[in-house]
Amino acid sequence: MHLQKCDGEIFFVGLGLMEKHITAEAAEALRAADKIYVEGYTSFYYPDVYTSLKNLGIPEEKIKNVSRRDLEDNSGEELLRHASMGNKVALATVGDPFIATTHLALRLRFERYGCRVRYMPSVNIFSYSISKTGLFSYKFGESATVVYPRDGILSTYPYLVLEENLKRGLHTFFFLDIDEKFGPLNAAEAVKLLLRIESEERRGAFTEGTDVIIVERASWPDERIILTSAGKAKEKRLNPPHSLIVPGKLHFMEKESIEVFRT
Amino acid sequence: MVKYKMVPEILKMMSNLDHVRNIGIIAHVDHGKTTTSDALLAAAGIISQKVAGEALATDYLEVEQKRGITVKAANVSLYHEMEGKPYVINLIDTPGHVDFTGKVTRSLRVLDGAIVVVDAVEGIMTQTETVLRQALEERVRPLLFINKVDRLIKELKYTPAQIQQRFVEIIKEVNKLISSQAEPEFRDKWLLDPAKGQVAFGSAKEKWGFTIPVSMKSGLKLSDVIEAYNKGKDAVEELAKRVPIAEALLDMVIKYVPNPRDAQKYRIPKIWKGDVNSSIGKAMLEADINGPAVMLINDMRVDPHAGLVATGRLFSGKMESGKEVWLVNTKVPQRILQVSLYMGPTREVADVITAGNILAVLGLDKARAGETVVDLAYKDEMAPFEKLHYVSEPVVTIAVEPKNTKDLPKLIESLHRLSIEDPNLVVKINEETGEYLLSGMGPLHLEIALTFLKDNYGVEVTTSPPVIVYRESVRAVSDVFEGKSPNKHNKFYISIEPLNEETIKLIQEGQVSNDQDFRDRAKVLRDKASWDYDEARRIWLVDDNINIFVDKTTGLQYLREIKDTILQGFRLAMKEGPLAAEPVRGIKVILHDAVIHEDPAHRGPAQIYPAVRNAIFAGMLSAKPTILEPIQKLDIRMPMNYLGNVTAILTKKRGKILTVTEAGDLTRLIAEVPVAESFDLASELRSATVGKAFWGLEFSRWAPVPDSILPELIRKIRERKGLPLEPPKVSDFLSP
Repeated sequence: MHLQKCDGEIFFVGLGLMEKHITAEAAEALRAADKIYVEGYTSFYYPDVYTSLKNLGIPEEKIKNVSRRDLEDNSGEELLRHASMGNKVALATVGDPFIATTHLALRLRFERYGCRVRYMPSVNIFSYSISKTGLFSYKFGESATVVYPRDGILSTYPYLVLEENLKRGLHTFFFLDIDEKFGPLNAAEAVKLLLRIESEERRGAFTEGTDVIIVERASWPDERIILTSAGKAKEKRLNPPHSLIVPGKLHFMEKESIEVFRT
Repeated sequence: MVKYKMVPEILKMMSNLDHVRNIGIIAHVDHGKTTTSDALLAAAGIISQKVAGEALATDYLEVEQKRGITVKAANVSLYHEMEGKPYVINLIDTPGHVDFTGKVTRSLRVLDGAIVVVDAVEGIMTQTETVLRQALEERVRPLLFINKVDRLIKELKYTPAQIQQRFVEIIKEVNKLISSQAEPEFRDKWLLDPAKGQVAFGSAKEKWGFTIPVSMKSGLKLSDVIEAYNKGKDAVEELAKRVPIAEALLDMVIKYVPNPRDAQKYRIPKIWKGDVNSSIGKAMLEADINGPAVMLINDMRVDPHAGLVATGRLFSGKMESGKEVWLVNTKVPQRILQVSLYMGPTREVADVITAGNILAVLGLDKARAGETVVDLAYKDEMAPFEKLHYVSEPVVTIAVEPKNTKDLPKLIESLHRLSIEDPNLVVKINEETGEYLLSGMGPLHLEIALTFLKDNYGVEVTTSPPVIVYRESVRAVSDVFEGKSPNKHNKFYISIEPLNEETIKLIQEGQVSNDQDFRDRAKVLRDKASWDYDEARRIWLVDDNINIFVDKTTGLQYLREIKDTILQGFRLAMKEGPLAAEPVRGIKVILHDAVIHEDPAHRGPAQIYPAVRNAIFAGMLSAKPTILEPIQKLDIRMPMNYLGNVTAILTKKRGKILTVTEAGDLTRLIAEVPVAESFDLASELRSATVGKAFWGLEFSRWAPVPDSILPELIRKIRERKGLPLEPPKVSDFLSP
């Protein structure tokens, strides 16, 4: 489809991890938007995005859920069409729109069509976990996602990332997969998957004795931060969503900060 | 005379391979295969001699009796004495109808010799030719039985000289086939010499028959036979007592079919792909009773009481209940619950059966026809027998629905059983409509399956009109197209080209397959199909629909992790092509390069499948895509004066006449007719020749439909499937 040059505006709005993370700037943009598309397939929110938007006084008919199909297979066609007609369109994303599930491909496409694109940043799981644990942000290496095995194949990529980071004494942040069928990957399962890769790769980057930090339901009222060994973590009863950190070489202050979470 | 033998005696015989023969009977439909089997059964004391010819013991399924053709292969172990020595003859009855060729091929693997039955009046027909060619390919030694000689006497009133002339013609024709089709080392040895008793003449139905040595010994002349028919029923019965057909045939088999050990010496290197110098290979060459157990299953069927019954040949070792075995293709361990031999349609339990014999086993419920079974201890060393290759592919589909909705579970169950017993029947569910789709080798194949459903499972069904299964393919080489994943983080660069005829043939014949060593496969493709060796080494997959995926990338990170996902995307694309959502056939998909996101969360199946498919479809649509339709070969004989009428019908039906020859008093015409045009072919031919023609139809090949009807055909298929009438364009698969 050939679209006219885009006259409207598109806001990429981060909603943070829960209602109280919505910034004044974000609230203003959401209220100003003619249409709000809520991308909810990559994460979870407290209490839930709809309620929170309603609490901002946004009428329900302005809100529409978008699926992965809408944004990816159809390349956000509907948003672009709406904006092209001179409207203000918001894409509301849990966390920050450009961390983890990055919407960069959409932003670039919209810009190519000449839309005015604005970005409203917010709290995201990555920076939240770092701050909460007290680990130093500059000591994190590459991050990776631990994924469910697909077509019977377990990706060894997160293990390789971990291994490289550990060599340089860096911490590793793991996002955990969300599957349409199986839901969010439990941290205990993620630890088991990493141990399974270890049993095949056998280079000692991740063993039962490796310490892991589990960030559970980050910033929600029932949040838990747990420091424990992989061997114990895999047996734990946990309540997702989660993220997982494997600390590298610890500064004494980092050590003191995380030890309070030891169980 | 009939000998009544008990199981223990037969088993004792089976352990001495000098006294064992494994044979089958192959013939064109209605040339008398089943009556021949029954004549043999009668003599072996399995059923009474009186009823053979009428009871059709091997046609124990009612559906077959109604139609008078054998549908399912049945196995029987026969007992026979020659020159005072006892023999066991394992006999596999194979179906003769053109629509079931897959079963014939499967049966041939386990045989060492075959009696080719030919109707004395009709002579060699297409199916005789096809099956004989297949037999020779599998190194099965052919012997000839010219059947229905009574027709020459009663219908054609031939003189002894004319009968003899007819015999000579038929033998010549068979020998011509043997000398053109057999491998050089067997050609001369296997040419049929009637003087040596390698050809029998007679009537299976009336139970008499002889070879030349028999007639010499008994002093029987053709004029005696004619005279018996002139005298009447009693005289013919007398003839059957003087020269019983069973004796002529079984003596011939014992003399000229090698025993299993001798046969395995030259057959194993042909039918088995593994290393003949390995311990398993040596054991099979020798049919070593003390070697590892190796069984090739040629038939699986559901027994209402026993469950799944696997029938096949033991090439080495012993089989007994409790044995732990490994299914080589399915890759699962199983335990043998029971071992038995065949006596007529029933199985008799045995403690142990030894190498070289045909047997039935229970307990292998994960196996399917074609499976290789090996002693569990050898699971890592065993190469499977080649993947069985079929000349025929399903070409017609109908939708079935139970007349009574409450019968649905029963229908599902029985369709499942049917597809286990006959792997040429394919059952699928249309996910959108919930209809059950049944595909087969031809309209008659499906008709028989439906009768079977009704009679054996009591399920009455309503069916849609038959629908032709088409294929999609390409006729040109495409450019390289970029397929992007929905999240735009992954890209695949793919081009498409048609596979050449040689490659398609090699895959069809099983000479090129997926589970072959990649170096061997590359060599075959280089030598026989002019592939570039390096490209052929890079084949990732040869799929079931005869398409090939080639990986030409170098040094791509993470490619290994998504290889299976890419291939799954390829398979999905091949299942439903872009033109009309029909299966794709005969294309080569080449992956030239790719961009793969580091993080596995961004390169899951939901991203990879569409990316791969889009690039493939864009490539196909720009490579002169077309639809292939199934073409049948028609072999028809008729009196000369009907040639014009028949030609007119064939022209009307887009038929193409290949050859017209004289065959005695008759004209033989061979033509190709699209299956799409041949649903009412039979009735039209019958009325155009006032019933004086006889013919056979068999699947011949896939051919592109004429360009003039292509757009209309695509629209029709799309309409039937509820797709938008216009097929997609290249641009639809290119990402913005």
